[in-house]
Amino acid sequence: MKAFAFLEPASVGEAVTRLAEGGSARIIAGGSDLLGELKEGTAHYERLVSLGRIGSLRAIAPAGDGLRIGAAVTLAELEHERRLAGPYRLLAEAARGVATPEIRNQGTLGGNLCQRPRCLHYRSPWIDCLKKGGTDCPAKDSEHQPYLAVMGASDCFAAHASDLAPPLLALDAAVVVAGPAGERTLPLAEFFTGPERDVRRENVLGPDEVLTAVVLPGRAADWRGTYLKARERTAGDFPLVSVAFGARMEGGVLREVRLVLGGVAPVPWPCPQAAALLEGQAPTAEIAARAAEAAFESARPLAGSAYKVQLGRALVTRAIEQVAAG
Amino acid sequence: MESPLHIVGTDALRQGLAEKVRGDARYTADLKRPGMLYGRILRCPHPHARVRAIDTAAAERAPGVHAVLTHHDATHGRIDADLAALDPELRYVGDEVAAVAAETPAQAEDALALIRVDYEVLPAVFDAREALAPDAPAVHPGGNLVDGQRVIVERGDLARGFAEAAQVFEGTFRTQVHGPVGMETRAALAEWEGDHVTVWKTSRAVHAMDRPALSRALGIPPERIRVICTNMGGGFGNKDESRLASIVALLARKTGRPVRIEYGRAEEFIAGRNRQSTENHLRIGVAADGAPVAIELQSVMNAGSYVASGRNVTRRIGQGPVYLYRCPNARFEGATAYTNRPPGGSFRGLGAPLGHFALEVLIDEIAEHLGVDPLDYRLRYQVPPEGQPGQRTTPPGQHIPDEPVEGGVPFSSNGLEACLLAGAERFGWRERRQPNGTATGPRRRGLGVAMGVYKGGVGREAQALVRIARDGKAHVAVGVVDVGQGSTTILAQIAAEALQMPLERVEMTMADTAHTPPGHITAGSSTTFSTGNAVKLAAESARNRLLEHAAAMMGVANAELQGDRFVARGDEQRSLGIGEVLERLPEDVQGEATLVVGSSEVIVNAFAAHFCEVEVEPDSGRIRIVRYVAAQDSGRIVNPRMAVSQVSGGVLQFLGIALREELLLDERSGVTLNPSFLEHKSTAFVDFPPIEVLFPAGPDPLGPFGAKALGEPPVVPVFAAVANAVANAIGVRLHEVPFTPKRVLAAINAQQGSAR
Repeated sequence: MKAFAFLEPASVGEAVTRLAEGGSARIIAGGSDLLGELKEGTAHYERLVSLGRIGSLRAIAPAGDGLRIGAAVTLAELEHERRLAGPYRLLAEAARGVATPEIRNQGTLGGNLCQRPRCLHYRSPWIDCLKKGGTDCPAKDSEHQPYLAVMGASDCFAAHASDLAPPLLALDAAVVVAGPAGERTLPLAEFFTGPERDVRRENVLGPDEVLTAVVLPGRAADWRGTYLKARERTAGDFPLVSVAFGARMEGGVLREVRLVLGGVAPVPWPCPQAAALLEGQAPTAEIAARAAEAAFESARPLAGSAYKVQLGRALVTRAIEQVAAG
Repeated sequence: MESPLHIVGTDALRQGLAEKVRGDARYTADLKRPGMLYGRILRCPHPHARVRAIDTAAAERAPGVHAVLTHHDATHGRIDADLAALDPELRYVGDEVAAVAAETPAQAEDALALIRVDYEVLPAVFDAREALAPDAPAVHPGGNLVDGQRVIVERGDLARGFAEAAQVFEGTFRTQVHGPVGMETRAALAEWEGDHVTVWKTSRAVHAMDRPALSRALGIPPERIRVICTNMGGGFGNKDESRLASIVALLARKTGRPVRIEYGRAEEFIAGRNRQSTENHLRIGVAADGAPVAIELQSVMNAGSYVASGRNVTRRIGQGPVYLYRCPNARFEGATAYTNRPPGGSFRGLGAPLGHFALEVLIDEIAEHLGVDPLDYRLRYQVPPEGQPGQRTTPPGQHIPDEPVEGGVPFSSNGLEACLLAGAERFGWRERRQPNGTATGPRRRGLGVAMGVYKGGVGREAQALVRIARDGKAHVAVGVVDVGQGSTTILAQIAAEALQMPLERVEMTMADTAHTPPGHITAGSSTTFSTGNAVKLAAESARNRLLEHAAAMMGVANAELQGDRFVARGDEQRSLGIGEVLERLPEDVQGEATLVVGSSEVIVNAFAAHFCEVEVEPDSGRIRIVRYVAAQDSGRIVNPRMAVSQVSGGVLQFLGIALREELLLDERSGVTLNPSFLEHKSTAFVDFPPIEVLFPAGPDPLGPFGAKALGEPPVVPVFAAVANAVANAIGVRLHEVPFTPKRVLAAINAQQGSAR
């Protein structure tokens, strides 16, 4: 690990100022992802700007019909948050599936959304790659591709590993971003960007911007969601594929259907066509299978990750069955 | 008649347990010496390269740096035939190029970046078969076939066996790279006093391996080297090589200061010794009645860039296939290939779990094909107590190998049938097992069985010294290392039993070349049997001398110990208290024993039968272990509580490998892709299944108080037990470990494809 300066601003405004002071700087919240990168030597920053002393970032408060959750709220707090009930329940469920209790005590909501990919080649300090400024993707010809995208990727195939992004997208969440020009709010779906825009980033956050909160809009009280995650190890593991699925049952048919995949594309991957297929339909095994097909219709997996498509279809089918069964 | 046992067979508390629980136990990396420097190692970024030039000037000028060590400083001798402390030719990504000693670990780390190395990059080879091809890049000067020859062992006439077979079954089985994942990483500390050096290191053999290896690498006689191993945080057949210790000792000599190096986790995963990958092609011919009449296994093992235990690892792939089933004709042929992968070495069970995987899965397939319950097939054709058919080939008077090949030699004891029967009963095999592939639904249960045979613990020269002091304590000195398996406690129990003394009065000294007689390597599950026999003999000798003293003090010919009094034999009225005798001893009473443990008449082997229940999701390829029963024949169990831990720990370790653990290598760069606990999927707490352990067999006639090997045998059948349970659940055969969702789905798809 190389030396760095550690700054602890007391407000969001000061954090933004610190970030804009020039040289390489990075926000650190729980540090559970960043410190690994610094230790392994896959990344280096001259200054780390800590959010640890900014109390407002740890607040959870009502916002209209919904909730506003500070970006520095920990995963453990989300896991145990009573207001994440009913339609919001799947967010707590997803938080519980992240890493281990120790890491959930440390890791934050914002950090989970801004985490870097788990592509084994990207994470190796020995290997250069597009994300690290190289000229080539070393992963695409490897047989070891558990954390590579099966759709939506070109050039760089690193998949987005966030466990919280799929449920938040299913809840139509928005994010609040603070920068030198003040605050802006944008739909979470517009927060993530793929390699076609900038291969070295996974979101639109500028170098002097801070993700400060996530806003959950109101949702019908009888809307229910589930989050399923396929992984090699039951705890302390990243998703090979994950599925956030939710809907409201009305007269035996599905309404307000949302389906979002994780771990399969460079960004968390909403499946509006598959959701539309289910809208207003009774949740039969047949339609669930068709939706699972539709969700992966654009899949173009590499040889070593083709199994993730099969795995993902199984998960989608199961998620639909679970929500339909109540 | 055997007298009843008082200490052997009891759940004595593990020695040093309280210190470990409190965190007081000191491991090598906890040790500090006055003025000690910290070392770090520069590792090669290329899979195969030669150092053209190395410029250390900038690193030497860096703050806190005392010395930089390169291959120019390591010119005395080699550690192993294929290994030098530092070598200008580098053979894997991570190979040691140079080392720095500095005042702080951070200064040493920073200085590594200042070393300028001009590498000539050489062609590399990663695949074992490619490495054995005539035009492959040579990893070592002697070529890529380790030792220049294959291991070949055979019994009977294989061609005739296959000619007589009514049916022949075959399959190719693969295993990947397994890291032992000891909680403690490798560490070493060296300190010179004049021309003598003391080395503390993580070790399995301070006498048998470290001292001679350090003597070669440092160019000084072994007498000037003292090697000590304090607590070990996991051996698992690993940590036997002395490269790190040699580098540390050379750095300490160059700086004139004590130097310590501790591997980081990534270094441990990459530069520690892993079991490299294998490909095993097995053919079994069976007669019309189903009996095996010919068994042939051909194996290729990828040794990686260095291989401390050489062809021994490969040889043991053949142990099960050659001997587990009664069969007149058997042959094993194994090639070991150097490649530019990280170094290979020994890991719990060596090749045995790999060979048993192939054997026990193919046997299951045969039983299924013949319509015989796989338990019945095993009960019918398991190797019997009288051994294999055929003629003994070991000359009379010579010790029988414990990786046997020949027929005509019985076992000292063979509890295989007892294990099968007791395990099946506990598991409910007869009541619960359904035919393969008949389960339905999204989660399918299946039951599997697999057996194992392994070395029983003989074949090493063992020494022990037992001294009864006048304060009433018995001091036992043995040179072997307790690698965490608990041999300190086991050997103390054996000594106390033989001395007829309370366990609290036995004090153990181990793993210090200055204070113990020579000891063998802690390997081959041999400590209890080999050193245990030496301890028993030495203790009996010390006890007899004490009895002679007591008799002399009473003026009689013979005395015996009754409770805490020595009693004159034939005259119960005359006696002396132990304390009185000890007080009047002219000097401490000593007993010693040196022996090469073994038998020229029988084979000493340990056996196991394992039963596994799984739940498989055919749509996601996920396997969950529901229940596991391990029945072991390790003779008499010296300490049942510790033995249960040893078995369940071994089963758990190999269940992890069966389901998810492997080290991944990028075939383009030779880089190990997952050298961390995040990406190497070591078993997490939530994945622990209930493991039940049974010891249904009786004592062995040759073992100390009847004990046989226990360290490795529990890991041998695990892969096959899981694979056979999966086959029972979903009707699909798995031929490659680990059984990740990717491989399980591939196997399901392949079967559905062939069925269409």
